[in-house]
Amino acid sequence: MQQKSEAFEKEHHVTVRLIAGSTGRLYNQIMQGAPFDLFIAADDERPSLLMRRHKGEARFRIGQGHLGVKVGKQVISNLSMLVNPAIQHIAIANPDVAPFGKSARVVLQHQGLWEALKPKFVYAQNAMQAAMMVDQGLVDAGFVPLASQQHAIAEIDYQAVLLRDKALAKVWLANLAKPQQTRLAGCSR
Amino acid sequence: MNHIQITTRMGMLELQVDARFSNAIIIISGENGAGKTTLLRCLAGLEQAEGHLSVGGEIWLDSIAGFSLPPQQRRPGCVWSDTALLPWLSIEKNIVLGTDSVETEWLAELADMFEVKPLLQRKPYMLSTGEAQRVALVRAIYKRPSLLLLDEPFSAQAPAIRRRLRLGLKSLQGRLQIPALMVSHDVEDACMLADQHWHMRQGRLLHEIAQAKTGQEMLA
Amino acid sequence: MFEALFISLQLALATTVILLLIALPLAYVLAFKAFPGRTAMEVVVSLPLVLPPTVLGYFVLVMIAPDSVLGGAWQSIFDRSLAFSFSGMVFASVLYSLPFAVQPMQQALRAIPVNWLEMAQTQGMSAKQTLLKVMLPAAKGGVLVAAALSFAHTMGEFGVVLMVGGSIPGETKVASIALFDMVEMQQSDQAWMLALILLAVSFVMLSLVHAINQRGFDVGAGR
Repeated sequence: MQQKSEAFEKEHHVTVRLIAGSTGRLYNQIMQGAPFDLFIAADDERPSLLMRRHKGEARFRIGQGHLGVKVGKQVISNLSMLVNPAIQHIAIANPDVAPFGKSARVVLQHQGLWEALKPKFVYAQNAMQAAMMVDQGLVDAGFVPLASQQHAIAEIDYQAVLLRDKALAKVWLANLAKPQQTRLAGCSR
Repeated sequence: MNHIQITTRMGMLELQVDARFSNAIIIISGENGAGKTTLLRCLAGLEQAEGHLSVGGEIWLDSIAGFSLPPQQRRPGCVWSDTALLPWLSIEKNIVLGTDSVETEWLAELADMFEVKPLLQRKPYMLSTGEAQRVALVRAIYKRPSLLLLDEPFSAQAPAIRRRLRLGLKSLQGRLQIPALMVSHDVEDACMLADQHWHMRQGRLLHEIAQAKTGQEMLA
Repeated sequence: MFEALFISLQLALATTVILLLIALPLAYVLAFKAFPGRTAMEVVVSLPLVLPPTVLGYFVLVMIAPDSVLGGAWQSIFDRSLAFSFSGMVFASVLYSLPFAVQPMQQALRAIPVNWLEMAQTQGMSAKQTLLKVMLPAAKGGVLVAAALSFAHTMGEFGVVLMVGGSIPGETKVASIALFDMVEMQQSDQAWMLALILLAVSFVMLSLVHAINQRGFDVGAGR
């Protein structure tokens, strides 16, 4: 996204400011009138809430994130390996707050592993932080974002909400999103 | 016999004292800055000094042997211009501070003699300067020290009470048989108390005048 | 919510008790002893005042990770990890609040009149007696302020415990992190209540500090 923004800046002679934050925090800021043009979240709940509260112009599905499990440097797909007592700590994004965490919880509950693994969990604020903990060797394993669909245990939809009817924002969105971009229903005021 | 032979440097002052003295009361006089307080502080071990010091047959300082007894072991009875009474302790607790058990009779006798009996249960902030000074004197003597170092111990006392305090001090010193070095500018102190009189100027003793006879004549 | 609050209180209490034990000798040394490296020691003690909590938290986390010397030793002795545990969080909090405990005590010890210490010496009091009967009573205000500040500071800690603790509910998820999550989840009623409780605790502790300072001043004036 950083690279795409830089290209966009050169092409259109504007400055694009990317503000990273957790979905919930950014949602709160938008509700309190933060001057953002576009909101991108790996979440369905907050974008639809924004639409319902008339803060958004339109909502799009713009792509997918891939949730995977890493044990040390190894990406694994068999989740029952995590039960192994050699694995003491598993980093997971806070499932109450972060979409990747929520998604991980759904998968684990589905496989009946949630309760067994719960004592091992160390909660990060988001998936990137969980990935950092695994990479630095601070934890033995973790639920992290993956670059590709291979080995992914779940997919998370990225959605974008156009907050202001700004022409350039629309161009940027078109630029960012893949061809499969779909406009979601119930989106206009 | 007690022996002082010390030198030390304190800023502008160069202290150089060599004296022998018996278990007597020695009045030290001299101008401000002559080194009177510094001399007492060296004896207490609160200032570093070079030389030799023996009190009551015990060696306190021998810098050639690299030996200096710390103040905790010299335990001199001190009265300084600042009484250093601890504000959170009662007067009685202040007096017995640092001793293991309370000798009730001894405390009562001293309290009586130096007129602090009614103050014993009070706190220091309730005392006048003169009262605090008398408490400091009782604290100095109560622990039965082997040397008394008194830096103008009666300076805050009214003349009438001063006379009674002198008598008390004289009789106690006689009973305890310890040397007492007392800085004073009061002629009456010198006359009534002094067995010896040292006059200091620029860190040195000018002369030692045996005052025993004169003192006794005055008392009689 | 009350679980997180309870953990915060436990953490603050444990941190305060340990800090008093560690900070007193440190403050004593810094107040009275001259030695090479004294300034460096003073700087290290006050470092947490200016270091971003997340930076300190990260350092501590790396320091107590299972593959580190400290973390490994802990693991082999207690057979459980120091990182992401309550004990690890206490360790981090102690480091983080160290200046809040050391500095008031150091100041209080330095403020003791030299005459009192000399009096203790000539009264024949040992170093231990002097500490217990003269220095500690004289520096009592400073010790109480140190305790109150350590407690309040630990209650309000966020960045360090976030890094070191891993926000595990029931073990390392403290009130400030719970509050943060509540806001993220748009649970504003609960967030309000928790914020008010934390505010009240801070208010009470700081009032205590001011009351102590005021009283210390009065005693000094009455002397």
